[in-house]
Amino acid sequence: MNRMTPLITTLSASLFFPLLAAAATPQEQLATYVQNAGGRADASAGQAFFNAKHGRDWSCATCHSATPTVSGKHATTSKAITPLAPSADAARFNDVAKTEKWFRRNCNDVVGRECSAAEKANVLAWLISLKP
Amino acid sequence: MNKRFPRMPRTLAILASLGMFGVNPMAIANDGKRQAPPAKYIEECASCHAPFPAKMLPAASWTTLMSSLDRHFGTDASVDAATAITLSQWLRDNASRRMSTRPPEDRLTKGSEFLREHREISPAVWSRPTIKSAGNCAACHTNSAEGRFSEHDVRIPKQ
Repeated sequence: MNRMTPLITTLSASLFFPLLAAAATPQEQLATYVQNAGGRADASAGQAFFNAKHGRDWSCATCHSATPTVSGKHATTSKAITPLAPSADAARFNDVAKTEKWFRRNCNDVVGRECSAAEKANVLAWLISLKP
Repeated sequence: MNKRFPRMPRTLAILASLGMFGVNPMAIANDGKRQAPPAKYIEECASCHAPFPAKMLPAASWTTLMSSLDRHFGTDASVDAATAITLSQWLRDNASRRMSTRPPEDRLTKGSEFLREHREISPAVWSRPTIKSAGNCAACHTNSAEGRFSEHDVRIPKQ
């Protein structure tokens, strides 16, 4: 072993491990939510949840549009939001930490609390079912 | 000299680890010119609004905004603790040095720097349907998504 080996190992681990640890397909993330929710996901319940207001000003659809195979628009800033359905934007639901971060933020805004595993499973099942 | 980390690779290692935290090593190496915002700033803040230039608010405003991200103008914009530290530091380091007062609610679009830069824009222009909000930077600043607000990149829509 030469003296560079520890450095190369450290660099490789620090650069690539976080990506490997967080990367997951939408289907893999759905499987985790389904498991945590006790076994099944209901896409039509997810669609209803997505389009309903939950005692506050906004629904998910307010910013993401009712059929999120198309772009949405932020309700206050008007900034364009790329489609949420994975079939319309390959960058959607490919990173567990990012998915969890946005569920946490947006469920707080829309529902006033964090969403349950069942609610996340239902919504994600519906989003995965959408085709452009 | 540390035997395991000779000088040159150690520099590379530091730059690489900065990259992990979203700090662009090239921005540090590129002294003189205005630095691009860190990748983390674009990722966390520019999902909902343009990556506002740090120099448009005083450091005290950034400190207040960054400590209340869970209640950020009506939305939960919270970030993890490490990201909050990194971004707070960058915002304070690049904050306005000439703004002596904080704008109402620490709103950048109510600040003296923003108002001065936009003093030639009439109320009729602001009310155009494609603009509407002072926070809708992308309506006129064509490269605002990357944090570039140069006057050369401004295209004001006709309606």
